[in-house]
Amino acid sequence: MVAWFAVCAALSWKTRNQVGDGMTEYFLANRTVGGFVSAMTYSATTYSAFMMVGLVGLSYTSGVAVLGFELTYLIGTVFLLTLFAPRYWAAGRAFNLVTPPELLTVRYGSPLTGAAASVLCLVMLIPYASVQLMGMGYLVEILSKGAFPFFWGTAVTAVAAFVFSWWAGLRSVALTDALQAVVMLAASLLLAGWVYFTFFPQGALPTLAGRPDMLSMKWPLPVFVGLTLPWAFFALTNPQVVQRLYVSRNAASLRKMIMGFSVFGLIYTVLCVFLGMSASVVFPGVEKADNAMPLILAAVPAPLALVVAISIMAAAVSTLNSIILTISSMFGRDIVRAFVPDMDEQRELRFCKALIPLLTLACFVFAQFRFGLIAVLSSMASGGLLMQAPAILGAFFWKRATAAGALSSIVAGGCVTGWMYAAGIKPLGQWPPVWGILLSGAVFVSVSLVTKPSPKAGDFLAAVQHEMKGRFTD
Amino acid sequence: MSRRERFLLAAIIATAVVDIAVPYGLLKESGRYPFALALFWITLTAAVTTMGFFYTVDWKDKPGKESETL
Repeated sequence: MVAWFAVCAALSWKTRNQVGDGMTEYFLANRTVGGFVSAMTYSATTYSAFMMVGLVGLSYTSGVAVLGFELTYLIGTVFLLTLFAPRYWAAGRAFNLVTPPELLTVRYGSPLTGAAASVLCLVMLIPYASVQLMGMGYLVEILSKGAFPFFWGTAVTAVAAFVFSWWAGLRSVALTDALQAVVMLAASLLLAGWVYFTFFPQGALPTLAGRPDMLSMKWPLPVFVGLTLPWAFFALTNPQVVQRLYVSRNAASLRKMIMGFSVFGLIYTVLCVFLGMSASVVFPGVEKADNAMPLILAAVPAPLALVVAISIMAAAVSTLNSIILTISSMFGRDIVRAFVPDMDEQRELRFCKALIPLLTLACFVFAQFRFGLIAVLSSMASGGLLMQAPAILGAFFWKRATAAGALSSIVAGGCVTGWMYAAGIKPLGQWPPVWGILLSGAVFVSVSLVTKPSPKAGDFLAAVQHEMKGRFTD
Repeated sequence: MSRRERFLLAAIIATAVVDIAVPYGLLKESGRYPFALALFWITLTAAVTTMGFFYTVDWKDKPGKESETL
C-alpha cells in the first residue's frame, strides 16, 4: 500500500509543473486530455469499490440478474455517450463551461437552475463518496484480521484521495486514474483466472451450470427496473463523469474515450459477476454477502490477495477524488458564483481548492459514523440524481423548455424521490426513481409550457451545432 | 435531430424493449441452456458497443488542433 501510494503520489507531483492558471486548467486540464487517459479516468471514476466488493456480494446472492443490471447500465452509457458526449463537448468549448450544472445555467439563462442541480448533486454524492471510504475501512479491517481497524483503512484512503487530487487537479487525477484503471483490470483478470483454474476441480462452467438458481432471473421486474433505471442514466446525471465530457482534446479522443470505456466496462463487469457467482458455489451460506470478496481473498495466495486489495483501493480512491474534485468545482462555480457573479476566476479557484480538503474531511467524518442511513442514501444517490434527466434532455432537444420547468422538475423530483427512499415507500410495488422520474418529467413539461423560455435558447443550440459541425456532423 | 440520430433513438428503444422482454419472457426459464441469459446480455452489450464503434467512425478533428499534452 505504501509503494502504491508513493508511485501515485509521485505521478501527481510530476504533473504539478504542467498546471497553468484558472478553473479550466485546474478542473479540466485545459481540455487537452488524450483518448487513452480519458478512457481510463472515465473507467476508474465510474467503477468504484462497489464493483469488487458490492457487486461481487450482490452476484453472490442474485446471480445472473446482477449481470443484466450492470450491463444494462453499460449499454445505456454507450448510447448516452454516443448521443450526448459531442453535445456536452461542443457546449463546453462554445461557452467555456467547467461544470455540468453550468450547462443548465447557460442554456436556461438561470443561475438558480444550475445551483439547484448542484445542491441535488451535493446531497446525493457526499454519502456515496463516504461509502467508498467505508468499503475500504471494512476491507482493510477484515484482511488484517483487525490489526488495522476501520479508522485506518478510511484514513489512508482519504489521505490518498486528497493527495492525488490536490497538487494538480484533473491532471493528477486523470494520470493516477489511468494507472489505477490498469491495476483494477489486471488484478481482476488475475483473480478471476486463479479462481477459474483452482477453485473448481470439475471445471468452472460445468459447476456453475449445475446451479440454475444462479443462472436464472431472480429479481421481479419492478426490482430490476427500480435498480436499473437510475443507473442507465448514470452517464448523464452523475456530474463526476459528465465533467469528463469536457476534457477531451478533440473528437477523435472523445471517441477513444467512449470505446475504451465500453471495452473496459464489459470485461470488468463480467469478471466481477463471475467472482460473485463463484463465491456462491465455493463459500455457500455466507450471511453477509459483502464478505464474499474478503473470503475469496483469504483463500488465494497472499501476493495475489494484496494486489487485488490494492486494486479495490485504487477503485475507491479514483472514484472518491473525482467526486470531490467535481463537487468542489460545482460549489464554487454553480452555488457561490450564482450569488456573487462578479467573483474573479483566481478567487473562485482558490475557494474551490480550499474546499477539497474540507470535503475530504467531511466524507471521512461521515464514514466514521457508519450510519445505516448511508446505505439508504447511497442507493438513493443514483435515483435522486436521475431527476436532472428531464432538464438535461430538454436543454439539448426542446427549445421550448424553460428555466422554471427545469428548476421545478429538479426540486420536485429530488424531494419526492428522497422522501420515498427514506420512508421506504413503493406504491404499486414500483421503486422511488420510477415515480420520481414520472413526476419530474410531468412537472418539467407542464411548467415549461406555461412559462417563457430564455431568449438565448436558440443561440445556445445554434452555438452547440456550430461547434459540432465538421467534427461530429457534416 | 439528424436522420442518423433518429436511427440511434430507435436503437435505444428497441434495446430497452429487448432488455426486458428476453429475460422476463423468452428466457424466463433458461432450463436447457443454463448460460443463455448471461450470453444474451454479453452479446447485447457487445452489439451495442460495435454499433457505437461504427456510429462514431467519422468523428474527426478539425485541422490545426493543438498537440496532445495528457
